[in-house]
Parts: sequence; structure tokens; C-alpha cells
Amino acid sequence: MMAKESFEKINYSLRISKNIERKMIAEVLKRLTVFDKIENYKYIGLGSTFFSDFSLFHKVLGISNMISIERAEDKKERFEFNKPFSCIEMKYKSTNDILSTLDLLEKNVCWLDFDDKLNSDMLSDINTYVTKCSSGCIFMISVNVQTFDNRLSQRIDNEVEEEIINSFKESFVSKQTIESDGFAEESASGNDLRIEDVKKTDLFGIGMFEYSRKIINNEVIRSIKRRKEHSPINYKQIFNFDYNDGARMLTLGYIFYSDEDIEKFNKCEFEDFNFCKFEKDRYQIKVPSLTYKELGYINSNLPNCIEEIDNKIIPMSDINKYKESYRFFPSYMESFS
Amino acid sequence: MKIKNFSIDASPTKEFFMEMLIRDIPLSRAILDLVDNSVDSARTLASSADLSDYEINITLDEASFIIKDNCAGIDLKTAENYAFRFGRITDLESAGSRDTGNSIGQFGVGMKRALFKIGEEFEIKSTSKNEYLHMKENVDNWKQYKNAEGVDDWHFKVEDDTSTGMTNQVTGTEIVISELHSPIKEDFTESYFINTLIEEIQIAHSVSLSNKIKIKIHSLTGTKELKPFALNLISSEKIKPAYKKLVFEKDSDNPVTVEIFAGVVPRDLETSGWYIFCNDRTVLQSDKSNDTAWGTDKTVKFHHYFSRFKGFVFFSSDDSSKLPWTTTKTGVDTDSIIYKSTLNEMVNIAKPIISFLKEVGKETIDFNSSKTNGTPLKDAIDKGHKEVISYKNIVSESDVLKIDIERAEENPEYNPETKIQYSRSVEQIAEMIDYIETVNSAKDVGEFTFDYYYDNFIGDNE
Repeated sequence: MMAKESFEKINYSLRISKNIERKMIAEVLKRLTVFDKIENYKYIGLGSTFFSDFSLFHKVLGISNMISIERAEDKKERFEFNKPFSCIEMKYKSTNDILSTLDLLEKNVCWLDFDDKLNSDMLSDINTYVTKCSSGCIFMISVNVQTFDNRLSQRIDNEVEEEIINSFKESFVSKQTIESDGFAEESASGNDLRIEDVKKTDLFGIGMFEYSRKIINNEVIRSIKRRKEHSPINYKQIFNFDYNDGARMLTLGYIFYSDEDIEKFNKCEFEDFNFCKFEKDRYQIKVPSLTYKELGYINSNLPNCIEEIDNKIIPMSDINKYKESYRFFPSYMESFS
Repeated sequence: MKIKNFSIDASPTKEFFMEMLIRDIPLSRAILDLVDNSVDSARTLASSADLSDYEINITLDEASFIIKDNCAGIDLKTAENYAFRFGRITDLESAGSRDTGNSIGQFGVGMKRALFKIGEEFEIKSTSKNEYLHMKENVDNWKQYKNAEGVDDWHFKVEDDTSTGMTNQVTGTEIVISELHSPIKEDFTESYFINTLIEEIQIAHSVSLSNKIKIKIHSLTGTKELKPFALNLISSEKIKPAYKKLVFEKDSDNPVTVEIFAGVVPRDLETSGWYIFCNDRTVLQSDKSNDTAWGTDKTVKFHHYFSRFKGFVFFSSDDSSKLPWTTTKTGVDTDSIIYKSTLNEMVNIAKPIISFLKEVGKETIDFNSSKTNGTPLKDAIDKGHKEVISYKNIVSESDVLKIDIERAEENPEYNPETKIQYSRSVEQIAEMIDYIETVNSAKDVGEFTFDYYYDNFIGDNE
């Protein structure tokens, strides 16, 4: 039997955190106008059969030069059928194969929204993108950082632990993947980050989130160094989302800008957004469980009369969660069509 | 205890020094160093890439080795500060600022090493634009030279026959080495050695040869004029190679320029791979090793699928010491930052080509299993011989290989097969073979029982 593709297992349009994240990102992308009109940008993504990000960015930002990369080549008809807009061009093959064939010098936003855990192919994608992109581009990558099987972690013994660590290492083709090639990030201890040295604490709980972020960040820095001598570029991390729609996910985002464009970058003023994160601290997308009646009630007191909300009915913690993301909160309605 | 201070004289004896100098260098490499110097000299003199005015003649036989060129010649200043010194003087000002612009020689050992390696006696005559110099030395005698204090004298004696106001119409250098060392004498009379030498020079100077410099070797096998290796890629309407130019140290006096060409060629396992040139001198050819990232985490291991891949990388700079080559010019300095950054770009450029060639490989498999109706990709490459052109004529603005060929169509009647594998007891299988009679092996039993079940319960048995 063929393994199922993730779009065949999950209905993306119902993932609330992802939905919020997408809208937050769109809000930030509007600031790119200081580099060029946002509608002149190209969007490169992994649309799957749902194309939620494509729909949003086309409708909200007016981007119409769009490329969706799809590895499930044998299901071409299904993707073509599901394309919400004709301006989306499908490219069939892995991101590894496609990314290196794209002209990344054109202004673009690229979001590699994976469902899988971090692996060496993804690092190779990061390197391809970062060493080829131009000033004003944004690159985002999402990976699964769910702790290895929960059931295992409950009755963890040495053998199981070793198995988990090995399976993680094996997902990196070569153990040197993030080893020093002279371009690695110097860690605080002066040692290069090596998959070889992965510890149990790196793969459980928040460890997996942190460790994945470190590896991605390390690869970005290395790629920046690789091009430094012939076409230098600056980078800034702008996203570090932590969210969970059934599996814990990490989305990191970076903007790249040349020395000449430093002013433009400064004008973006990404620090205006509380969900933009520039360093290690993450932005957690928290989804409160509220009824439509409650949502309407809280909305009528937002953004500036929050103290008037009766917190005997609705717990304060939920009110606070909602307050953070209410502008991006989706409302779903069952329809009997 | 009384402490006494004294110093030890650690300066090498000439004998030891010469021994060390020539020990690890193969003869053909030593000769190549002399050829490098002549080519260098032609390149400095030429006003364009065209080197058709220059000729290098090498004559070797039992008695002597002669290399003669009509290039720039060695002027006295160069002779004094560079050509006959061991090692390169780093402070160019004190050396009289010799311009080594775009040169191949950079380590300052080549000529001396070759002279010592080949014979006991050498004679050099060189006519440069305004000067003429002559020197003749017997190495054995030179080893004995001492100064007034009885210390080794390292000077070479040069005759300066320059007359005032001399302007020479014809310039050039002739080096004659005689009293050949006995193993060298043997090599010079072996056609195997001559052929190796010819091949090595052809590889090393392919670019200059294709720029029409004449290099002739006169030996017992006759006179042979060297031919360049074809540095070609397919370039057509349908297939366009990738090209990228990088400039390192842009703001310095001597920036390093790198040009990368890569694409596909008709299948040829031996010549496929990466080629690397430093100031037009080949330092790596048809490389399929880690040095060019094959089989590392960046690129897959070289596979026969990629025998249609070729890439050329040209490093050039007025300051040849910035180029990523090894002292023997037989490889790249993989630790060089310039090389490492370039390698990453090579990987980026190779990626789509590799992925395309995998598709070409799979195309044949699909065709052979009748999944598809043809091999248009393979045909376009292997039959596109007319479209194979020199890198010099390639005009490409993209760093991505462009392919514009319709893929093979899927066969409508294609019925894919897959393998079933399982184990049963040997005894049972033997019983089955006995029972069925028409079968002889475990495999047959498996196929028979599958077909039997299918025909009786699923297939068209109304």
C-alpha cells in the first residue's frame, strides 16, 4: 500500500492555530511594500490540496505570481482540480529538486510548511534558498516538533530512549550535516552543533522545539557565511511560532536584506507586532475554547474595554488568550449543504 | 650547574635541500612546471586571449632535454629576484615589484626543481625585450661553491650580455638540460612516459591550447603537436547550460573572479564530472570526488546516471596566491574560503542538473518496463552531438539548467508489477513441487499458487 500523504489525513482548513498563524504572517508581509509593491512579490509554498496560504495571500495581499511545490506527482489531477485560482503554478517533485531551479533573485516570500520532523533534506532546502535569495525576501519553514511517541516516553527505558535518538539521527543522511565545514555557528561553548551529540533532553518536551530551532538557525547562519565572500546579505529572524493543532509545530521566519537596503528593513518596523520574535523567545499561539456567543460578547469589549468583561462567566485565562489573537481568530460554522 | 648558551647552525646543506626539493615530484610534473612558465610568459605578452603567435617546443632524447619558446623571455630583474631564487619574495617592493599578473607560477620553486630533477648541467639563454641573459651551470660544481668564510655559496652566476639600448625583435627562452640523471634518461626513451607527458600537458593546458598556443613535443615517437581537451557542453534551443559569475574581494586590488558553467553532454563516464581551472591552468579534471562535493551531505555519490554531467569552474586573479590550488597544481585547496563558497554555488547549480539526470535514468527504466512510450530526454542529449559547443561560446544568463523537452507519454496499456516475498517451510515447498509436477523451484510454487487462486476466484472464470 502507498503511504498516505498528509493532505489525505488532515483537513487543513480546520486547523485553528495554523489559521491564526497564516493571518498573522499576512499582516507582517504587508510591511514588505517598502521593498517593492507586495503584489509584485512571488509566493512559493506547499499548497497541498487545500491551498489555504495561497488563497489568503492572493486575496489579502494581491500576490498573483504563485508557485506550489508538490511531491505527490502521481496525484497531479487532484491538485490541478483543487487549485483555487488559476494564477497558481504547480511544480511537481520534492522541494529539494524544485527550489534550486527557481529564480530566487526576484522578490519572493517562500514558506516551506512541512508536516514532518526536521531532516537533512530540509536543511539542504534552507541552504539553497538562503544562498540564492535576494534583498527583501522572506523565508519561513514549519516543522513538526512533537515529542517522540508519548506512549513510549511514559515507560521510557534505556533501550527505547536509544531507539528514539537513533531514529532521529538517521533522519539526517549524513552525520556531518550540521558539523563544522568552517561556516558553522560558534555555540556558547565554542563547539559546533552536531547531530551526533544529540541528547535525550533535546528530543523530549520543549527540548525538541528548541533543538529544531537551533539546527535551523545554525543552517541559516552557515548559508549566510557561505555567500558572504561574493554576495553578502544580512538576515533577521522575525518569526518563532509555537503552536499545536494536534501536533506541536514550529515556524521560523527570516527576512534577508542587503547593506543598501538597511533603511528599508528598518522602515518595516517589525517590532510593532507582538507576535514577531527576533530571538530565542517564541510566540505561542493559544486557542481558547469559546462559544460563538462568548466570542461576540468579548469582541464587543475589544480592544479597549476588556476590564468590563464579566470574568465570572468566562475564565480570565481564556479572555487573555483570545485578546491576543482576536483579530485573526477564525469562526467556523457548520453548514448543511 | 653552570648554564652555557650556544647556538646551532640549522641552515641546510645544498645537498639536503636539493634532495628534499626533487624527492616527491614526478618527472612529468617537473616538466609541466617549465611548460607553465612558458605559458605564463605567453599570456603576459598577449594582448588578448588569442595565443596563436606563441610556440613552445620540447625536445627530449637520451642526451638532453630542451624547452624553447618565443614568449616574453626572462629579464634580469626577474632572474635576480625571482626566477633563480628559492621561494617567492613576499615583499614585492624589495623584489623590484615583479608583476605576476594572472600567472600560473606562484610558489617560486618550479624551474629550479625541474633543473635539478632532470640533469647535472643546464644552460639558459633568454632574450627579453631589452635584455639578454645567459647562464650555464654544472650542478655538481655549484654544490661545492663556498664563499670566503667557507660557508655554502648559493649564488648562480649569470652572464648579462645586454648591450645598451638593445631592443629585441624576437624574444624567448631556451633551456637545455644535459648530463641527464640515469632514471630520467630511461624515461625519455620510453614511449609510455612520452605519452603520459603529452596527456598531462594536454589536460593541464587545455584552455591555453584551445586559445591556440602551439606546444610541440619532439621525441623518439616523432613530433607531436598537442591538442586541447574539448571543454564542451550541450547548448541548444531545448537545452541551455547554467552559468554563474562570482567576484570575491571586489574592493581589493586583485579581486578573484569565478565563472561556473555546468550542463549536460552526451554520455561519457570517463570525462564527466567537474573541471577546475586556476588562471586557465587545469587543476582538477573530470572530478567525481568529495573535493567537488560528490558523496557528501551536499551532493549524492557519483553514479553512472551522472555520466552526462559536466561542469567547468574558472578561478582567475592577478594575485595567483589567492587561487585555491595546491602547490603541485594537481588539486584544489579545499580549505580555502573562496573555494568553499564557490563549492556551495557549484552544488546549487549541480542540483537541478543531477535531478534532471536522475529523471533521464528513470526514463529508460520506465521505457524498458513498457510504462512509457519513449526516451525523448535521453535521445535529446545523446543524439545532440551537433549542439555540443565550447564553453567559450555559451551565452547563458541563468544559473539554472534550462530543459524544454516534452516528457515521454505513459503507455495506456501499462500494467505495473510488484514483487511479493514470503517464507514457508522448506519441507512444505518440496511437497508442493512434488505435487504440482510442472514446477521446479520455490519461486515457481509461489507464482503457480498465486495464479491458481487468481484464476479460480478472481479472474474471468464465469
